[in-house]
Amino acid sequence: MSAGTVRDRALHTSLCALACLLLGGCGTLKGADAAFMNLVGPSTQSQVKGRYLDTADVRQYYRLDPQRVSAQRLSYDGMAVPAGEIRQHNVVLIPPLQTYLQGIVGRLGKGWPGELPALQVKVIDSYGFGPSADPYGNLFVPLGMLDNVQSEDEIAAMLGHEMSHVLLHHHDRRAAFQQQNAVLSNVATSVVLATMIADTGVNRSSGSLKFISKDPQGMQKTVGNTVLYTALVNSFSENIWSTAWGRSQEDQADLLGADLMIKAGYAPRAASHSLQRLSDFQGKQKSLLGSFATQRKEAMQASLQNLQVDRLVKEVEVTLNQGLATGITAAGQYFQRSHMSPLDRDTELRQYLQRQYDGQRRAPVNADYWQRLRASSAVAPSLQAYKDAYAATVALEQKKLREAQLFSDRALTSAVRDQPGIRRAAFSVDMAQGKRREALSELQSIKDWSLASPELYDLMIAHHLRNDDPRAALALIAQAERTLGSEELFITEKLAANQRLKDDAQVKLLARKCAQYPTRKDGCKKLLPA
Amino acid sequence: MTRITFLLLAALCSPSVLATTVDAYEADPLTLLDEHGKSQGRLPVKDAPKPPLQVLATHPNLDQVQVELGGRKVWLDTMDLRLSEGKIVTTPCESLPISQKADTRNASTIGFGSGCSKP
Repeated sequence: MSAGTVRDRALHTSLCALACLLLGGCGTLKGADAAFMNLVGPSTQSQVKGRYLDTADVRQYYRLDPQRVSAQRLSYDGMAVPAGEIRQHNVVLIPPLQTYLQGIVGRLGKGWPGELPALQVKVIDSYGFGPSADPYGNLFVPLGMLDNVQSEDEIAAMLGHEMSHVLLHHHDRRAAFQQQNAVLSNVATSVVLATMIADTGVNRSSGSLKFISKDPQGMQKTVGNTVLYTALVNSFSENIWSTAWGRSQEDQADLLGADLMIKAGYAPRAASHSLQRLSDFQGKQKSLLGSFATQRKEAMQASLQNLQVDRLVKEVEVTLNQGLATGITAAGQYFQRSHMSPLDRDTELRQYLQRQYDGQRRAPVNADYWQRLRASSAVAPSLQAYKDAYAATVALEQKKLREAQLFSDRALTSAVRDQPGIRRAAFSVDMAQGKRREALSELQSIKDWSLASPELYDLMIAHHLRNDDPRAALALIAQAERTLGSEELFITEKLAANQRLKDDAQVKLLARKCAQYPTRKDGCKKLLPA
Repeated sequence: MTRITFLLLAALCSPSVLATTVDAYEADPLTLLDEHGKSQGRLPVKDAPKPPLQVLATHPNLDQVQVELGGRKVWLDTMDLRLSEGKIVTTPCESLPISQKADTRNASTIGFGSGCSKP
């Protein structure tokens, strides 16, 4: 075993030990240490021994914490979802498609050895490609994904990935940053100090205390990388850490998603197909971490000049500075490596499949059923209507009004014509032509407001308030609260409507509630008499 | 030669097939297949020619491509390979209208992958 390997292992052990020590008892920070290692060490996928689903890391999530579930349900049903966490898109309802997608989730869920939380597929009016999941178990499937995937296996791969984020509690990362930023910085600082102590000796031969590096060349890489990363975390806060952590969560979701789809009898090669499509969708982009590191390189070097504490630690600082100065180039590889890219995720996943599922990985995808369903008379015309509405939006942005009108008119002949996404496009086309009354009637034609986005609610509530119809505004706000699970979002409008109705008790109550929302309180204050 | 045969030949020799190359091996050893996907043996990557290799034909239903290895034409599973042309989408991110690029998500969601860089 090479000295480098021994050093890497020692670093890994000390990092993990320190991180675990510092993160002990902090439930929201599970995974922070793994994220650190994902940046400075080998990939998540290559470290997994056996099938990911069976590892201790995953087994800890088999059992649902009833308190946690109840807290999430309460949030979702009890109007306590923070405004920033509310879905932003209109929901699309095509019943056979909905049943089909929910069925895939059910089939995937049977492969989960633990207790399964409630998972609900929602098709959204977006032509992005990637699905997403929220902590309440909603799996959002954009129309752009359905437009591009060619087999049920591909859909299963992407839904399995999103389910995995929910099953592995990945949304806790956001909470971690809100609550524990200081702890993270302490972890990073301690990690670098531990590395320094482990690799630094004291030379007394010259008669004075002098810190020396036991293995300057070997230490350069580890210290350089650790110091660089630590400097980033300390100086530039959560941006890079959060990205790294997110990266490691994507890797974990790829692994668990693959396990689930294979258990459900799907062809794992479809996961590779979807990652290739994601790569094509995103195009060639610079690594997020790479560009961040480049931007911060100069700032980091400047910040180093301020690292003066006292004479005793000066020698350590010098080493630290040298480590950072020499390590910037070497460490850059960690930030700039294309580990962020879908194609690298694909490569890592294929290697995992070859290691763990050599027998199953060649199974062919079955494209027939999905393509038949997509082309069926119960689904195809509705999907086409949404495509037409999308084309109308594209035409509008290109200032092709006549074309936009034609596409919108066609969308309005479909069975989904009264759904929010279709009427939203028609609203825009009318507004672009100055037809305000017609535009308003598009919004009034929406039949099921439970599918509407916050933006549509906003438009309609504002209209009712402008028209001096506070009762209609309040009725719609009540619907928005039920649908979106948040009282915060329209609390200012609710206050305004109650003022118009001269309901002082409600106004007082709402004013008190509003003061608790930092982003709303100023708006409410303006409405209230001094 | 019938018209259909001509069209099939034209499709097989189309620039898209001829332009595709095997850019890397993603498995070791490689499994050599016949045109029906049946295994014909294994080949360690160290004994395979260095990529890029020209793809001679494709079999989309079986996810196979034909290449020449050591003077012999063989079929390989695309799971073992990185091809120059992968699976694609019809609406790449850059072509989305501005309103869709902005494509706001709720802050709490975790997605399959991030969107494209905004212009």
